Amino acid sequence: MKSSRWQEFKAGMGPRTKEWKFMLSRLRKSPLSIAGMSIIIFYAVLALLAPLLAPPNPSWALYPSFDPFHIPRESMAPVPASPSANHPFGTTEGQYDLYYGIMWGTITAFRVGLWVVGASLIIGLAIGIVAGYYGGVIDELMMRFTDVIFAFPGLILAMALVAALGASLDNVMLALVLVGWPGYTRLIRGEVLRVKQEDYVEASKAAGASDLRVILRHIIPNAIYPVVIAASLDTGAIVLSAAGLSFLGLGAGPDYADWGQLIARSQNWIFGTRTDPFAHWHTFVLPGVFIFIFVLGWNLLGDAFRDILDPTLRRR
Amino acid sequence: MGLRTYIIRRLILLVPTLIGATLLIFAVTQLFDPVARATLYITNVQQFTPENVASIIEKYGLNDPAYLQFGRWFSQVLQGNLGFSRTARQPVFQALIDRFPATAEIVIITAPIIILLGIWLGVKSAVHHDKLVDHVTRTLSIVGWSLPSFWLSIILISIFYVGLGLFPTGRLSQVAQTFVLTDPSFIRYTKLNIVDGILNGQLWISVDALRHLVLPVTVLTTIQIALIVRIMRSSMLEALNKGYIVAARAKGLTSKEVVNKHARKNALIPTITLSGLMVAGMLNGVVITETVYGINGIGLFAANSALSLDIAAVLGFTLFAGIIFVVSNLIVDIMYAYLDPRIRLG
Repeated sequence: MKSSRWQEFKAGMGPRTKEWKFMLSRLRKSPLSIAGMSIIIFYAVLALLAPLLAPPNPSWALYPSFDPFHIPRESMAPVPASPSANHPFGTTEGQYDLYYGIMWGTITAFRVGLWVVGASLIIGLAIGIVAGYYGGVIDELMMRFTDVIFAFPGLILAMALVAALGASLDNVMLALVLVGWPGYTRLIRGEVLRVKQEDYVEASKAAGASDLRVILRHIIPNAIYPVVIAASLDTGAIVLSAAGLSFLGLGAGPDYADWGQLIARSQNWIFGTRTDPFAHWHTFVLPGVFIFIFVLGWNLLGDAFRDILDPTLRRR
Repeated sequence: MGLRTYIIRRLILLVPTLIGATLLIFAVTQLFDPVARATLYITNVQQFTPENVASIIEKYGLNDPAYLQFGRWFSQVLQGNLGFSRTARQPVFQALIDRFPATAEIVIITAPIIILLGIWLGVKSAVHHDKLVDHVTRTLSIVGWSLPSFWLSIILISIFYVGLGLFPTGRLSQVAQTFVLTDPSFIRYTKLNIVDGILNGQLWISVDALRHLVLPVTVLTTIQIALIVRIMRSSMLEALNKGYIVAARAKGLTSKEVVNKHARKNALIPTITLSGLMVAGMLNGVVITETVYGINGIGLFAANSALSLDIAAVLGFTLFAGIIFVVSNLIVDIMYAYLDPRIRLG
């Protein structure tokens, strides 16, 4: 019994697995997507190893209020110190260790990106599927509501929301979710409207399947892929927005391991010293390089996916 | 459906969106206590005193249920009163009007560069599909799209201002600034320094203003251009595979003629729809670039007021940006419908 159901499942998945295999083979052939994938894997390794690569001082870890995301510092002297054996990336304004901040900042970047994308996606999917499947008044109301969010440039609305909620990294994430979900709602709604008209959905309904069963068994599996891929590849853009808000002073606190915050901190030191205009280059160059490459990785992958998914361009 | 009917229908559809947008802004104001919200109803600096705040809370019933307050607030907004900015010490609407020319100057220069350069690169990329030009253009536009604008701004300041002393920050140099503001013979017709310099016959003002614009315009162009390049490239690729292109080639036209006369014109239409997104991108972008470059436009004003919890200013700016965005989207849609009659039928 079990094996025959498995056979049935496998047969049903046939075209879908073929599609995935086709996509993966295209991805493997595209040098840009390989570059993107390698970059993201590199950062994932950094994030996982951050506690080993930049271990917090064990004596501080004894304090009950200890939080490894707060960057340690040895003094309060304002002027940044250049890279040295003790501080491989040097220190930034206020003697915060840049190496420590950047390493733990990798975790922050993944956390912000994945949380915001995940939460926006779940909200977007739930609302979009209901709106697309049932249509009518619910659909109309939901779409008018997304119109309202779309009436504002995203970063500006997010900035206003953070200003109202209070400056903190959590509120930056919340604001980005509030601004971000309508995009996924629209996307999945379009997909649901398309799938809803397919014969197999009609057949399933005619056979007496409940709405829930139709949605779970037929609508979601056939509508979800483009949305999930679009969402996961938005991670880079989300991290950029969050870093921008942190840069403006609306995000993570002054000692928090966050790339945007580290660059904000370097602003006073762009002008170097009288003798050397680039004396404090490390304070802004290093954290920026880490944000840039991270976002580049996601965007390279996203671009490759877009080409592969675009039915007018593929198979050429 | 004619174009006029289409425009009228779009205008009617705009009303609920705009009401919804103000409703959203109003909902955000409700996160604040009545004392902070009182600044939303102040119209001039004389009213801005602690004693007055109590009377404003009383007068506008700021402790009433929200739906009662919305009507009063909305009628204020309709009269153009967006409240009073604590940081600028002037009404928000006036503050935005005063700072708008600085922002407009950046946008007016950046937009055509992005559009023309983006279209050119997109066409080049498509015509040489999968050749070196295509790969280089695509890679560069992804790189630009991935750069944090604030970081690129800082790097450019470090190299071109601090290092080479070429392009300064700010909007005008000290000398030019003093001249523009105090010289009685200099008339500020448009408040756009480049234009005013030409109109007054003081070309050095225009040159000075342009020098200050080089870096912010470079940043915005680098970051926003990918959008246009990408869509232009893919719609051009699509156009080049259409039947009429094959026919034109078969007729014996050179590939230059085919590209310029037949493919590009049709490929331009989808690109136009993206101009609306570009407006949003630039509004987002000026908040960051103006902050880094110290240009006193509406973006810097918004960033500063967000930091100092000047809610009337932040929300006023947000509404202002929203209206610019909605109106530019409307214009884009109308242009699209005009160029592509199929849209009107839908």
